[in-house]
Amino acid sequence: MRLLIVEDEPDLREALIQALTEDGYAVDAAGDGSTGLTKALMWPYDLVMLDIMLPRKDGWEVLAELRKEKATPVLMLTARDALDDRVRGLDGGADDYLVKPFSVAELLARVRALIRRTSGLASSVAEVNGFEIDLAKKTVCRDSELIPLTAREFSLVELLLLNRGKLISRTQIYDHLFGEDDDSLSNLVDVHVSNIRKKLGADFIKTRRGLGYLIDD
Amino acid sequence: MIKSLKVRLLIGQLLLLAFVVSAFASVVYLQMQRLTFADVDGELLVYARLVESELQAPAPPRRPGDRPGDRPDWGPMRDDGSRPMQAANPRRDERNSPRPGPPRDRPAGPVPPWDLPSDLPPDLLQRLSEPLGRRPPGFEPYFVLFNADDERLAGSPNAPDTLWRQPPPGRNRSYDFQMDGPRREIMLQGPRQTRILVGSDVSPQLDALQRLAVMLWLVGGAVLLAGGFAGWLLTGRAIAPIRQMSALARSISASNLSRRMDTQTMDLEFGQLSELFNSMLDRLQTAFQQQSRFVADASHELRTPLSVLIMNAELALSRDRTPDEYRTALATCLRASQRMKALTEDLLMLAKSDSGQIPLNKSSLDLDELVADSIEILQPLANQQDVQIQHRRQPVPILGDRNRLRQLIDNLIKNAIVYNHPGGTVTVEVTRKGERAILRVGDTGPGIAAVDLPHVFDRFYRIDTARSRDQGGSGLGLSICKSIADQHEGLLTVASEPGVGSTFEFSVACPDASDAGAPLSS
Repeated sequence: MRLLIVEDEPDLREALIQALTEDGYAVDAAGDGSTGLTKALMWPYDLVMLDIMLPRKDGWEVLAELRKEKATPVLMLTARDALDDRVRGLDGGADDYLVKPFSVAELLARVRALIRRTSGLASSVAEVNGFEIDLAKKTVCRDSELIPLTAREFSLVELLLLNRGKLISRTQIYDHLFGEDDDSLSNLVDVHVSNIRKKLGADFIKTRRGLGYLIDD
Repeated sequence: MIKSLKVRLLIGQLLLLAFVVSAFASVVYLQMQRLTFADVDGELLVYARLVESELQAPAPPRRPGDRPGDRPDWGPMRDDGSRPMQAANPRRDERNSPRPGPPRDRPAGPVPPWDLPSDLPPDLLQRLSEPLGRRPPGFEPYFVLFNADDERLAGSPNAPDTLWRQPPPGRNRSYDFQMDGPRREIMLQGPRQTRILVGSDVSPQLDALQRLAVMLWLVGGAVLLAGGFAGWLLTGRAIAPIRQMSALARSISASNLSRRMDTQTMDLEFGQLSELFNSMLDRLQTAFQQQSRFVADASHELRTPLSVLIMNAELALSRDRTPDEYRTALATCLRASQRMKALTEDLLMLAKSDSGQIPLNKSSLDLDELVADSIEILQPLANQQDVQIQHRRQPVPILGDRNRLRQLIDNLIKNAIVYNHPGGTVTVEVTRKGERAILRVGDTGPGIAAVDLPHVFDRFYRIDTARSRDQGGSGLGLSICKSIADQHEGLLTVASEPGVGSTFEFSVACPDASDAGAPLSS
């Protein structure tokens, strides 16, 4: 899954990037509202993390303008705890609201929940072909036996699972798996799919030639 | 001392009313008394004159058997009220003895005083007993005749046992009066050194006066009560706004500052007071709002470095890290902590100077010398930023707090260095214009947009957050400068052109020659 962080405070931005990257996300970042909005409109992010106090365009403006075009889940970050702000945020189209300071664990949990909620998944545990996939623990098990996947592989599984039953094209997968600074080749997706099939079975991921991949319902 | 205004007003009012009512009643009573007695005295005087004229009347026509010079022998009045017709006075006897010859003329020379009852007109009493003319009903005067030795010579049948208690009326007074119990008496000088006392029982008049007095007391009392009651009500109504104000003041607290007095229906004097009260509340409310905004902004500013601290620590501990990674994390934590330290110090100082707790320690200073010191300290930073400092010097004496002014100067010059381009310049100029000392700090930095310009001195206002935070800024630097400028009654302004640079100007009044040696106050 690919996320955008819009936060002007450099140290905090770096910490957020590190936390989310280490949790398996592809992360892009922006240091002001204007750049943030541009990127959010340009790429298909699975979640945008938006600070309120931003230079050039503040968080409210970015939210408003983003919402005119996209329904990307937005998690607002702020240091203000006022009720008015929360109501304003949620009414304005944000999906959740985090008050600084927050712990890494809480941040990651909220991001996960938001992404899962947006895709309509009821719980973070799913079953595919006898495999139990826990999105929260980031594990895949069969008969209680843990099957190790790389971070990227798991991300791919997660993406297909969150869009279960929907066809995702290779380009789309690429855009959701790699950040803007990544200049890997797009056929890396095929490599990952093939590796997953080796570990979880050939029909774990279905192919539609020329159209894309999916995990069946 | 009674503290209640209402009670004091009421007491004062009652006293005044009592005084007025008493004075009025007294006047009415005394006047009535005077008129009554004037009336009575008038009647008595008429009667007295009557007696007098009877005494002075020529001898009545002789009765058979009378001889000239004969007078009835009245004799002094006895205690039982009877009058002997005899006298034991030989002289009288002499006169009573028959004398032949024609009536003797009055002897020449002063007329001797009457001390002989026989001298008195024989039928004086009789004549005076008859009703004389018109008399007021119930008016029964009596008379008593005294001789020069205060002995009673004669008296009317209804005359009581009365004495004249005062000295005899002098020659130049026509009459004098006295009250003897329920009787009013007047005394005249009569002919031949007699004194005529006439009097009358004035009980009816005294009763009437007493009834008047009672009525005056009652009415006066009633007036006092009514007046007091009305006064109490009126005062209450008049000072009702004060009670309103007290109730309002009591209900106001930091969380409930929005209520105001309703001045529309008030009287003029209270209206003014209430408006002042309301405007004071307005100022208080603004101050409180500013303060809570400040506190909110401050806590907001602190939360971000706190997030950095917490997240970095958590991440560093979440898995095994390389020593370099630990070092980076710790350095970041340190940076965040230092920011919080700077912020709390700045906040504390602003808060203290807001509440006036930091008094200025003024002394005579040379503005240029302060600037030179500051530049010396900041030169390494300028070198690091590849920025040149130009200093145009001019000694200018001012009056101020050394430490705080240094802080202001340091802040301005540091900003100019930091918000600059590599290879840029910082121009520091100290001049004197008329009565004002001027410090100008200019930079060749990115400048400040017109929309931001009015807000640069606001607390926590930031334009380029990344850069200011980089240098450990708290967002309070310029507002602290403004606070220091205000404390010195100076001006701090800024002019800027985006893309060219900004110039900050601090000016303060120069001390006059007369200020030197004057006691310093802050």
